[in-house]
Amino acid sequence: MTTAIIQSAAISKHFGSASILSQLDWQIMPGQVIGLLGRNGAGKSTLLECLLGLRETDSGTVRIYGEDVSQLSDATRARIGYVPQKSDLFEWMTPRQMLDYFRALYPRWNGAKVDGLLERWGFDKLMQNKPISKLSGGEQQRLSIIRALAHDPELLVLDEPVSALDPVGRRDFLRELIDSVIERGTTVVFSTHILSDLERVALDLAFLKDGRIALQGRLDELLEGARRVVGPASLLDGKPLAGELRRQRAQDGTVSIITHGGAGLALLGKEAGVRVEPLSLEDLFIEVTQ
Amino acid sequence: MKTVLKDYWLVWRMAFSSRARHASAIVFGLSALSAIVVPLLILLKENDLLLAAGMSLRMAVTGVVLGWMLYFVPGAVKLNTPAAARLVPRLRRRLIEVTVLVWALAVAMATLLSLNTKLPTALVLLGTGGWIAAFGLAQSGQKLGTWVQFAFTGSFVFHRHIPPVLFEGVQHGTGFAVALLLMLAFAAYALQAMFLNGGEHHYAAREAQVLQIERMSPTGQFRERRQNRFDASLYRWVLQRDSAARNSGRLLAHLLGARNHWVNRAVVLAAIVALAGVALLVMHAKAGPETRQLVKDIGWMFPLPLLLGAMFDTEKRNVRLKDTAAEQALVRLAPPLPAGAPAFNRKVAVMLLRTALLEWAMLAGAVLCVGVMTGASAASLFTQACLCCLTLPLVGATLRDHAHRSGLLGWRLLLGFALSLAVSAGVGMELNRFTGLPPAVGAALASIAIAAVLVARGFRRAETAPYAFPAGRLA
Repeated sequence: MTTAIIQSAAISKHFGSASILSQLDWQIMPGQVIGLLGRNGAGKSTLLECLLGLRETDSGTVRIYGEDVSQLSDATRARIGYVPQKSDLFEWMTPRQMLDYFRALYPRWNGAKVDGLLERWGFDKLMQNKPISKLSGGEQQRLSIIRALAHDPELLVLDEPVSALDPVGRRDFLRELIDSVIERGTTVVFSTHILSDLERVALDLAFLKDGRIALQGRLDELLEGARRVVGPASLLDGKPLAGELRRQRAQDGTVSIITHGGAGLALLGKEAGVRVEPLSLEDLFIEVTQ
Repeated sequence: MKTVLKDYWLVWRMAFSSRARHASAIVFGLSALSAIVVPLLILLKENDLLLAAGMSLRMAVTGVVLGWMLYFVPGAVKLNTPAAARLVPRLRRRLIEVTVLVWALAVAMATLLSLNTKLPTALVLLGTGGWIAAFGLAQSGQKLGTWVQFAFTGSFVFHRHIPPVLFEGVQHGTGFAVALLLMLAFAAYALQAMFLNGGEHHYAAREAQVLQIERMSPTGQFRERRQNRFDASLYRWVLQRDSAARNSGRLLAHLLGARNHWVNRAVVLAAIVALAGVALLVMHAKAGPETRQLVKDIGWMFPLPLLLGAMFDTEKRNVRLKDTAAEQALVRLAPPLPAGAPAFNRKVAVMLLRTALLEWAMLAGAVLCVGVMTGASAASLFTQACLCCLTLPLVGATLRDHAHRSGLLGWRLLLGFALSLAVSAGVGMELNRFTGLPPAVGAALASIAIAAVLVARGFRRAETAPYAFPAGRLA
């Protein structure tokens, strides 16, 4: 049996009276590429920070590679790469200085990979010696990604890594992620709002809602199994469906039910006035996180 | 008219609140209070209604002018963004009008007050108008404003060295007319520079404006500033050296930023010492024997204010630690940093203490160096060294539970330092009474003891506190 790389059990986190994470259990297995989805303020960044031990949880435990997250050994930390949401970091340094700084902090550093990425992602000599504060948001984000990839991490945690990138930058990043990270068997957890990118990269999806993982599964299975059932209230009211995720009554009296993996929908679809529709990722995102 | 006045009141409050939420109420409240209380006291003592009324007016105008200088002008420059200047021209117009009105009020008031006094009215008018305009110009981030203010201060201090004919010339007739026109032209230029009308020029000037506005806020004045070429090259060398050495403690210190690195601080202090040396050389060449003796006797006291730099250094470190919370997350995940909060916090505390001690030693060294250059006696230098020790407890203020408390210590630092000074002075006096030890030595020993206690307490706290990085996350 394979051991989970990240194992979190019953973690809770409050900011004042607001509950951000509530008894959340989550496991990330080796080689998984998970897209973490949730609405703004759902707690995605907080969850990623708690998983890395950068924030204390109010209760629960987090283990990475079997070690308590508050006591990670040097060797384990050397296996982790992290791209925070804020990308304007070390603004007083130049990109070259910042990379040299981190090279000094890591025992393993893939200089050839760094040089290759710098070249491919448009960091010429001039830009490498320009203060980071003078770079655009997209350039700063690219640099942040290069830094996170430089020590060939086995676990890569990315918090909205492409939010400031233009379509070309996103395409380059995804190519890099697929070619030299995912192909190598690296475990990747990343949060994003750009669903089209997620569809290209993520094999697994996890939806964060009300402080818990509301739905998780393989992308294709989730899309295959997700259905919206719309029909008259007289028929659907008081009739719980298998795999039901959400139920909503419209003003015109119809009832809309989101299900996942429920059986017997084909039969229900034959009833008069009942429609059973597949869902796109965007529909699923809206329905699950609303 | 009513609409215009409403607009003026609106922009006044807008500008104030853009800097500090309740500033308008505080400034007006204090002005009103002093405009009532001070004249009442005068009335009770002198029984002169006219004098009391005059004082009330002065207090009120002084309050308005101070509020205008400290809050309105920076707030107004902040409000006049390149976009607002083009898209909301009425706002810009009203900001200009209020600025001009208060400027005119201040100049008129100063001129009126100078009547029937020894002060030359024309010079007061020209000086007030020019100085306030220069102040506004400086507030909009233009160095020219600061230089003109320096020039005014210089001409005030060294007025004896300025040919009297120049002063006479600008007070009457054509000379006055020309000077007045020049002052008005300068004021108009300052006004235009303060409230640019959008466009490329405005965007280009905005960075300096924002920096200047930020400098006016308690936190902003401790923020990392842009490096000049020399600082940058020096920092490049230090960073290269520390990166090559792979020393995690030294690398940790880089989280404080480039300008706050001790090497940059050392250069600044060296420059100050060199300037003081040049000034002393000039003084030796020009001054008479009495002045030279005076400098020898009390000159060692002049560099003492430099020691207060230790307080600013402490606050700078606090603000930098707050501002670099995101960077700290990455450094915390880096392998060479110790695992577990106690060990990690100890490492951070050692780094902060080492930086604080180094900076304190540099300040004390600079003070002593200037003392030596003044030709002070060994006894004076020894007293100077003892006085340097009084600021040593400040190094303890750098050790905190950074996860829970970050940013400025503010009044807590001031109060703590005042308390430490008072305790040290008290101990010094008592030791002197009982043992005959010079008070300065006793006070220095007490300060060293206080510093040791604070540092030990800081390290004990580090053992039990949560991970120091990212700082302020639990605040």
